[in-house]
Amino acid sequence: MNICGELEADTGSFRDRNNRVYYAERKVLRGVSEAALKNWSKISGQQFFKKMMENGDLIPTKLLPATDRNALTILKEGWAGVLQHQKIPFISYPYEWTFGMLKDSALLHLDILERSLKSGWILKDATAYNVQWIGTKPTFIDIISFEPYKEGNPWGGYRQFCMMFLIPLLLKAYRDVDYIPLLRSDLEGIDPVQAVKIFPKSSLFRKAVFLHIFLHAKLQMAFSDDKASKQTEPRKAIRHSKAMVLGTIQGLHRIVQRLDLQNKETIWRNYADCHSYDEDSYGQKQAFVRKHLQSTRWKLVWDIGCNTGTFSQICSEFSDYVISIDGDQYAIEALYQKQKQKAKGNILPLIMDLSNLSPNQGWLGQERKDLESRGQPELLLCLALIHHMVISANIPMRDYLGWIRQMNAAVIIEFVGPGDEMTKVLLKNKVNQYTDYTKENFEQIARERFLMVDSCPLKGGDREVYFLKPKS
Amino acid sequence: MKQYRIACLVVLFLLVFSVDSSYAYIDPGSGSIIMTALLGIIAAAGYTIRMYVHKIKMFFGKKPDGESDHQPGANDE
Repeated sequence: MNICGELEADTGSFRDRNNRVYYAERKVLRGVSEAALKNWSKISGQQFFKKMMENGDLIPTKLLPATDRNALTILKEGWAGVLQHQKIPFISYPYEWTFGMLKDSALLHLDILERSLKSGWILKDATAYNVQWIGTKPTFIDIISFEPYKEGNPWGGYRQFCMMFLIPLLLKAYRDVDYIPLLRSDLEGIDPVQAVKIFPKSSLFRKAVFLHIFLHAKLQMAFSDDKASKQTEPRKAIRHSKAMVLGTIQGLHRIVQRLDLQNKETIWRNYADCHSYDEDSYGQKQAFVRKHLQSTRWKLVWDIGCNTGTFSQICSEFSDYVISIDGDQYAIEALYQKQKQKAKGNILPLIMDLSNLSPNQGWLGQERKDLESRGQPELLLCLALIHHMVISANIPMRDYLGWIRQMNAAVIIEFVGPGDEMTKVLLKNKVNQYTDYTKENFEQIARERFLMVDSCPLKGGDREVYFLKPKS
Repeated sequence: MKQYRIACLVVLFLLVFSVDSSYAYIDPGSGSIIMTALLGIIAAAGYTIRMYVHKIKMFFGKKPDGESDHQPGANDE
């Protein structure tokens, strides 16, 4: 939504009428209401808040002077003040995060909430979209969510926290139900009333399931007749002492802290060494990628079909930021856990089915953006992926290469030939309707769209890796 | 279910002690507010007990095991 010249309003920032996010000259700005500005003036001077901003738990933010050119334009929109946030390198959404990422973002949310409450502040909401990533470090971005805690009030974000964080994590940890399709289809999260249908009766012996799903759902259903009876007066709220709210938050923290993936050790063992190469060919492939990466400093690289991210890590040496995408949640989890150990990583691991990428969705199809709209790569790495796209997902090779060309980026792509053992595995139970899946056809389609700068045969010629540049 | 009946009694008790509502732009849900009150009472009881245990231990000069910012309440797993 273009406001004035270069100033653009974020299409997903409209729910809380106290603020609106804008973009101008690659800066992230936030117009805030009178009340929000008053809160900012108070909280920005407090020690606990400054400390959270210094250690990166909160996105670094400052108040712009009213004389700033962009601030002036935003103030004309009717806002009382303008904040500037540090830019998040690449926006991602909870339906693209691994279990570990969702868990860490939940813990961050609860940590911030607890520290704030101890200093007399509370977060007014608990949406997972308020957490973003700088590499594998989660950071809280919704500065306007902080408001003074009024003694006696409940934590209004509890239900939202359950729907966006706790229930998805409990489903995965206790039932091995993938939350990604659920969070992707309902942007509000998973309702306790729906979740209770997924858990068997035996799960009720787990205290977290009993309290936060079963009992929560029952109470929700018991009081849902407010709407049916058209009651418009707000129901009298129950007085909550600060100790009650704090105790609830701490209890949730302990529950989330203890949640883990089922059969974790087996999963990690399976991913320890998962490629079909001999050492020589694998070394050749790495050398080819490294050779072309070091030719320049890349701003943004996408490694699609990254598996556990071996090549993403090579990319990270020569790039400002790397987005590592794979449809295999456990491969991405392995990458996240490995990267998390690093003090300052520049790899963002994301789960995405590459034949069904995250779409534009939400209100007017603009609230949550598709992958391409969130930042165009300068280099695209597509190693050992094409056979999955063409044979497993039935995407025609021409369409797949056409999509890659749309990125207008340099490309390092590996062609996995029809004679390769991995291609044969994919063809095992299928009628072979892929007679056009040949190296000659691949090269012809590629040459129509790209300049073939370099190539290198691998695995005795069963595979070949190419460095392509888009034709102008 | 016995646990559910007890919870309902606690909820009825809570409804007697109420204040005016004041919420943010999200609807916390009536059922969810009662749920937080229920959780809060359980947690606050645990939290208070822990605080006293902590103070008693400190009085006798003993550093409690696994001391952290997150003092366990009663509603953990």
